[in-house]
Amino acid sequence: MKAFEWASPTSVAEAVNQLRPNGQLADMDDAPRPLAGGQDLLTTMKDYITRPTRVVNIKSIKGLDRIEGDAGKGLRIGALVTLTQIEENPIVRRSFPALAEAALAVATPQIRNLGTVGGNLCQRPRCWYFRVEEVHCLKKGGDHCYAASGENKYNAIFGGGPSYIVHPSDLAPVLVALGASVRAVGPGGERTISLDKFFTLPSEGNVRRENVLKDDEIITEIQVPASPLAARSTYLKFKERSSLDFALSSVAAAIELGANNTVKQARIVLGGVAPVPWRVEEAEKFLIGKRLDEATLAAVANRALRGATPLAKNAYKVPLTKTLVRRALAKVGGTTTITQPA
Amino acid sequence: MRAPGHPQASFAIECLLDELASALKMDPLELRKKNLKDKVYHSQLDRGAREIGWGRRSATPGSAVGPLKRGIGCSVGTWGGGGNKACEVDVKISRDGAVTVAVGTQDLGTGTRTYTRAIVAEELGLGLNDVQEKIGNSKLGAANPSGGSTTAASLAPAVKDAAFNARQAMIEKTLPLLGAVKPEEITFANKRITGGGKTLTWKQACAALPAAGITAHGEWKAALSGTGVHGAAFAEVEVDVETGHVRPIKIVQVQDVGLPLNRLALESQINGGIIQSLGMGLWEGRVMDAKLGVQLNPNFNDYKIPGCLEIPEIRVFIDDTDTREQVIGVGEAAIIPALGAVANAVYNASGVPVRELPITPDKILMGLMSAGGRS
Repeated sequence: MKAFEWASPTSVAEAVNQLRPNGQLADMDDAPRPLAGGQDLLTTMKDYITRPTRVVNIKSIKGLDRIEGDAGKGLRIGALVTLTQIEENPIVRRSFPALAEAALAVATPQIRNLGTVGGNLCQRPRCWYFRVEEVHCLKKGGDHCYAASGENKYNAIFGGGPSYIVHPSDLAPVLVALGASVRAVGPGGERTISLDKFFTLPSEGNVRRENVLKDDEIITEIQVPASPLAARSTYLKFKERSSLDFALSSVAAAIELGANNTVKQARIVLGGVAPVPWRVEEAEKFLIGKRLDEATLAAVANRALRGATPLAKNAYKVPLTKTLVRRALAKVGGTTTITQPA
Repeated sequence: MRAPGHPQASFAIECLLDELASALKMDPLELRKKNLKDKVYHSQLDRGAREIGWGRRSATPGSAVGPLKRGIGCSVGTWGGGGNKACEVDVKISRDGAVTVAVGTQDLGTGTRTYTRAIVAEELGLGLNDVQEKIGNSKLGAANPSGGSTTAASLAPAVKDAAFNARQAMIEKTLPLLGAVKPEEITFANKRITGGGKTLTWKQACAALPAAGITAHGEWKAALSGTGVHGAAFAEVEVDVETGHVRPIKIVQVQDVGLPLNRLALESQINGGIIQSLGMGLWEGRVMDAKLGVQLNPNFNDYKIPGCLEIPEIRVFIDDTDTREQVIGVGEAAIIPALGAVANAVYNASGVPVRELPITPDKILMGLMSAGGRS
C-alpha cells in the first residue's frame, strides 16, 4: 500500500474539499478517495489498483447513517447505512423485500456490518485481470482487455467491449429495478442522478470508471420512491460458494399484479452479466397483461437473455440466468417453491 | 498440500470407474469389489454403504424427477505413510516427581504435543498433567521433518521407547523399597508403583532417586511403526440441474489407521481431510493465464475454499478391524477418497461426468447442454 494523507472531515462540504488533489496527479487512480466501510477500497489499495494520495474518512460525518421513510413515502437511505442495517430494517424487509434480500446476499456478516450502501454501489469490478497487481489492463490505463480472450468465466455476456467487466454490486440491480436515485455532492453543489443513468458502459463512459460520479463527488443518500412494484420484489443471486461469493449471475425482479393475477407492470434487472445492472425492458413489456404460468415464465426468460453474446468461457451464464429469471418471477408471482439458487 | 498427487489420481481413477460401471450397467460398488483383491476394501465399502444408505441410490445417473436431484457416490483411497529412524527422545524424571519429555520435532496442529505427553503418562501410570513435553527446538533431540505423514510414525515409537526405558530405570531404583518382587511384576498405575505387597506414591518413589534424577533415552523401533492404509468414502449431494449448483448433503469415510493414538484428534483430522477433499472437488482451482503466465486468483477471495455453509454432515468411522499395534500417520490419507465420492455423487445426480476439477456450476451446465440440448 502506498503512503497516504488522512483526513477526517465532519461535514460533506469539508469532505468534498479534501477530495480535491494537491496538484497534478500521475494517474487518475492516485486521486484522493473517500473511505466509508473500506471493504473494497482497502483491498484495491493493498494491491496498488488505487493509490490515493489522501484518504478521506467520511464516517465521521453525522447524519448519513439513517434509513427514513416507509412504503407510502419511499425510502431515504443515508450513504453510510450499512448492509446489515438494510437487511435488518423491518420496513425494508416488509415493503422493499428485494432490497433486504440483496443486502443479505452480500459477502459475510463481518463485511455486511462494515460495508455501506454508498460503498456497495461504488465498489470496483472483480475481474481477475483488474484485481491482479501485475496485469496492466484497460481499466488500469493499459491498452488491452485481457479478459476478452483470456480467462473470462466470470465476465460479461451483455454490454461488453472494449472492457468486459461485470458490475459486482448486489444492491444495484434492485435499486435500478425500484427506480432509485442517488444524491451526490461535489464542488459545484448537489445533484440527483437516477440510478439507471448512474452506471456507465465501458463503450459510453470513461472505460476506467463504472459510473458518472466525479472523483471529487460523494454520494450522500439513496432515494427509493414509493412504488406499487416494491412489495412484490425479489433478488435471486447465484453464487458458486454460498458462504461468500460475488454473483455469477443475479436477477432483481419486481411486479405489480392487476386483475385476474395478470401482470400490470414489471421490472427485470440482471446482475453479474454486464458492466452495468442490465435492465431487460423487452422482457418486462412482454409480461404485461399475462399470467405468470410456466409457459410465460419460460418465454420471458428466453426474451431476457435474447442478444446475449457469451465469451469463450461464460456461455453457461445464459441458461443459468434464464433459470434465475424464471424463479424470481415465479417467486414474486407466488407460483413456486424453489426460491434460493445457491 | 496434503498427499500431493494422491487425491488427484484417485479422482481420475474413481470417476472413470463410475463411468465404466454406468456403461456396463453395473453397480459401481460391485465393480470395485470385483476388482479389489484386498478384503479390507470390501469390508470398508460395505460399512460405508450401510452408513450412507447405498440402497437409496438410483442406478441410472440423472434420472430423478425435478430440477433438484440427489445422487450418491463412492470412492476408495490408498496411502503408505509409516515412519523412519530419525527421532531421539529423552524422558527425565526428577526427584521432586516432575517428568519431562523432550522431542526435537514440532506440532503442526496434528496433536504431536498431546500424544507425546500421553504416551509417557501411560507408560508411567501418571495423568496427562503430570508430564510436561518440551517440543519445537532442534536442540531437544534429532527429529524428522514433518512431511509425508511421517511425524507420528517416526516420533511416537521413540517416545514409547524412551518412556519404557524411564520405567525400567524407575524399577531399578525403587526395587529396594518394595518387598520381594520380580521386576516384571511391578505395576505403574494411578500415580502409584506397586509390587511385593507394597505401594509407593509417585512422589515417594521419586524421592529415592539420585540428585540428578533419571534421564532415559529412546529411539525409533521399527516394530512400533506400520505402513499402508486403505479408506473408503461415500458422498450424497444434491445438484440443481437448472443452475449447476451442488449442495453436499453427507459424507462418510471409513478409515483404517494402524494404532489410533488419540481418537478424538484422529476423527478431527479425518474431518479436516474430508473438508479439504470436498474443497478440491467443488471449488478450489488455481487459474493461470496461459499467455501472461500469471495466477489470476492468488488470494482467498478468488481461490475459493469452502466456508461454513458448504460443509455437509460428516461421519468418520475409524476401522477397528485393523488390529495392528503400529503407528501410522493419517494426515494425508484423510484427504484422498472423498473428492472421488463427491464427483461420482454429482455424476449420479446429474448424469454429467465432469472430468476436470473443480466441479463448478459452469461445467455441469455446459455438460447438461451438450448432453441433452437443454438451454
